[in-house]
Amino acid sequence: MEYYLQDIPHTDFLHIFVVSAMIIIFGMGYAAFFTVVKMKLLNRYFMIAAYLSWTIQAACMYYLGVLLRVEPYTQKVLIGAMVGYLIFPHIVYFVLDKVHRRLEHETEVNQI
Amino acid sequence: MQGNRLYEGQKLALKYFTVAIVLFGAQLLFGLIAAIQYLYPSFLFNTLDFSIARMVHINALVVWLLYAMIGAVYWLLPDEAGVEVVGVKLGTLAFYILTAAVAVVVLVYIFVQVGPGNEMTLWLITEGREYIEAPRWADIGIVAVVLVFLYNVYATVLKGKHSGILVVLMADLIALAGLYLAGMFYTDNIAVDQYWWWWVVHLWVEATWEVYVAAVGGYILIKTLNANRQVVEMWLWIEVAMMFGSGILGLGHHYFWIGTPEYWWEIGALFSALEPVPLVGLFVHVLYDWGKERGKGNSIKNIPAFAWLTVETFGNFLGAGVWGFMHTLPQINLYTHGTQWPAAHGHLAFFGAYVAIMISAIYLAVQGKAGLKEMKMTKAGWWAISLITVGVLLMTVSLTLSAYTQTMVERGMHGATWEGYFIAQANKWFVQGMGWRLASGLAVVAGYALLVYDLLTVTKKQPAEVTEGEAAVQTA
Repeated sequence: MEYYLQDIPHTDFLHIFVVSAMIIIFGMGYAAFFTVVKMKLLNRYFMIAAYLSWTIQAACMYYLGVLLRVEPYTQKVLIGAMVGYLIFPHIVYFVLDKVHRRLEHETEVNQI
Repeated sequence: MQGNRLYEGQKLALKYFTVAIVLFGAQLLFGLIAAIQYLYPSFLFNTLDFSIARMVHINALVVWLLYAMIGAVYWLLPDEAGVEVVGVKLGTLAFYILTAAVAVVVLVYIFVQVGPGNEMTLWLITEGREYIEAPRWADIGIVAVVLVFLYNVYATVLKGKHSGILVVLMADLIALAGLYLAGMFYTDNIAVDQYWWWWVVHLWVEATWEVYVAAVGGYILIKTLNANRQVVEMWLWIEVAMMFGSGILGLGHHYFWIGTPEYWWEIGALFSALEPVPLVGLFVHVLYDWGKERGKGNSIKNIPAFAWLTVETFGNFLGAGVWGFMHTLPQINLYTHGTQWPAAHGHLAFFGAYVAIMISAIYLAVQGKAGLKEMKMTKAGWWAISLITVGVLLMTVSLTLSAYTQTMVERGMHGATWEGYFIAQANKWFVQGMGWRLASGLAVVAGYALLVYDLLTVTKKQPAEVTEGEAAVQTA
């Protein structure tokens, strides 16, 4: 396991903390823009901001991996996590929207 | 006041909320003392040492949150189940026993402080386990009280309606109560002892409490926004799956350096990285419900409760998500654990994830007690939420400044030596961070005073159109 944890120069600490924070902040930005645009609270062109957020997040994740000197297995896990996160809001929104549509349909039928 | 419209269980909830708010004040007071001691180590030295002030500060937090959690369940239980709480008299007796026990434990903490380190200390003074220092007699008492609480919840739900929120809570409370047992036995090996102790601390905070918050948050969304119950409950199940999925093995990030096998590094890293995902999900969920209901022209039924719920969503995300992820991976945690990083993360995460939602639940109960259909925010309420939130955020940034100094100077430049520790403690950036932390703590205390004032007066300061035609919300 010696390979797993390598010494990190203290000059990299600030970059690591900032990049870690950016990963989560842009991750929220992606989810927030995606949801708000899908709900038509913002113009659909703002979807570009959503995917731009995800792209910056993915780049930050890559840079974090470099700074932390992670080994190949963790590199793959990090990339897999980013792909998963790209899909995640789509699935959540799809499920929420389906439930809403079904409920609205049921309400209309009941009213008739 | 239309207290006569309340269920007996809800009246019991108000008792729990009252003690919770008092203990919240005690938490802040002892936090302030500890913050002063960081800057002036001779302050109350040999009278109330830092170790005691910190212990009471953290234990008061844990206990007041538990009080508020039990209170919130007693508040929503009859409302959701549609029947009075079964065993409410037993519950009231348990409340008085618990409160008397907490008072005795706190007095022993403050006036006896330490024992000779034998079995007597373990049973009567403190078990010495960080965050859950209660002596064993109190531990056993807590288990008895929680068993009464569990009985009341189960018996009530079985008698009444089984909503999704209640079913999730029933399962979660079993886990919450059961995990406490992992912190009650003693082993001679410190690594083994820590291994089990983290079950209580981590699996409570990052699994069962998170699920609890999701359930209570769902209830608050229904009450404040008229959010669709089926959507709320469906989302609740998704969150439960995600939180248990990432939270349980996220335990690994506490096993990096306590003598457990090295495979915990990879398990901890992977699942800790996943832990912010449910928080993002919670954020999307609240946003989604707010957007949907706003589109239908629905007004917010309780603005203070909804404002605190919003603080919860962002605070949980920032504190647990951003500040957690910044130092959770083992490669960087090697340099940050034991510094002020966990303190910065812990302050914002606990405030965001738990304190804010419990205050939200208390505002809901205040509205219900007064029988108001809608409740607006008062000036005192706005000042309270602003001072407390900005205060905690500033506190987190201040602690981060000190933490960064420690990581650079003590760990990076001086290799985690004693000499490095003292050099870092004397560094001007570390000291300035601690100074700002004290200033922000004072802002939080001022916010707390306004919060108490607002909770006592908010119903009397509602505009006429709100108070006219008032009806008990919980029975509507």
